[in-house]
Amino acid sequence: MKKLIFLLILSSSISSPVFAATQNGPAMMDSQSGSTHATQMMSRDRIQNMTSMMQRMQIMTQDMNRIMDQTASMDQMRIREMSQIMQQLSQAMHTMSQHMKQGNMDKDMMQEMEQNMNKISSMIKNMEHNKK
Amino acid sequence: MKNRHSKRAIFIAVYIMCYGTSISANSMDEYLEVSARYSRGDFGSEQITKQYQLQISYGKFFNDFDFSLSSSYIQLKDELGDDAGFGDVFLRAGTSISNDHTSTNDLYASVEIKFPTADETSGLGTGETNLSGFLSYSHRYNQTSFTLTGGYTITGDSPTQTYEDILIYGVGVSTYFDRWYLYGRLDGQQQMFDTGAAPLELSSGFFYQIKPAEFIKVDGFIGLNDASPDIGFGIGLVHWF
Repeated sequence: MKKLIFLLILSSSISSPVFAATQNGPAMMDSQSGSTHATQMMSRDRIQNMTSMMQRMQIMTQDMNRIMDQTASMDQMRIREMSQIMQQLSQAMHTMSQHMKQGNMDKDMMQEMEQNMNKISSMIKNMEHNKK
Repeated sequence: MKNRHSKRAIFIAVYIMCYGTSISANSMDEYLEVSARYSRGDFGSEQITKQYQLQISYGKFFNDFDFSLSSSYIQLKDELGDDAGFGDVFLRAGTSISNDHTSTNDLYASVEIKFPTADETSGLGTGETNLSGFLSYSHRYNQTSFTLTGGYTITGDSPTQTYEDILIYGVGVSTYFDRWYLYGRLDGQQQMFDTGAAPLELSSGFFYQIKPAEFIKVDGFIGLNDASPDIGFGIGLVHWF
């Protein structure tokens, strides 16, 4: 990289345009390579973030399936309560999916969903504990 | 009542799963970038040279690796004349060794080949192939990443000039919020000859999302010693599909 820069330093007494231009070749190549590298790194970050959020959404969906398996043993009040939380969760996931489709990350929304999931999980745990 | 709530819950879950599937299917993993670049410097001589560059890059991401291909059209201007033509072609491919998207630590290995498509007689390149290898370690803290990079370039020697292979190093930080992605880097490398300083550059830039699949990219750098160009900047558009 920038190898010809030093060649120019060593041979500064030579001043033909071609020679001077040749000195600058590596610098240009660095700039091109560095620019592409920056885009590639941004893209990797972007895809990693999207993948990470998708994985978390997938886990939440699995948790919701698990919760629904428990509905048969719930009383009416708990089912209503759970349904409300699920609706909030669904709305949050819908909003977040819209944001993700536009390429935006919404950390607050993800936290809200996780809080809702924690509420449901603790409710189920309490219910299972009461059964015993 | 109980049955009605259960049905509603099932509907919600199915709805969400469908949404999840549609997001996965629509994920964009290819991009095309067009950018214009300018840099200027005396490169240690008594003569200022200006470089104008129109660059086009393509990149694609797979599950396990990614690659990019870039080329450019270059114009050089100095006090003694102009030269213009196509630059070298760069092919770069990399893979995450840690291969865990959820981890806060990432080790990324990549190789880069410079194909000597530029006309060396016009001073647009060396006319020789270079082969580089890079290893980057990144640590993510919330939405900010810190990166250490090391690399080595095996340079091709021309019939009239022998070049030393080069050790490359750099540190960087990047962060994103809303529609912005910001980054800054300090990059250096070994000198290629016995005399003169080793190039050292400070660069920074940002990407701004203007549409769901389009980003504006603006970046700039300053040379921290005589061996580097004095200053340079670029602006580009990145389109995902």
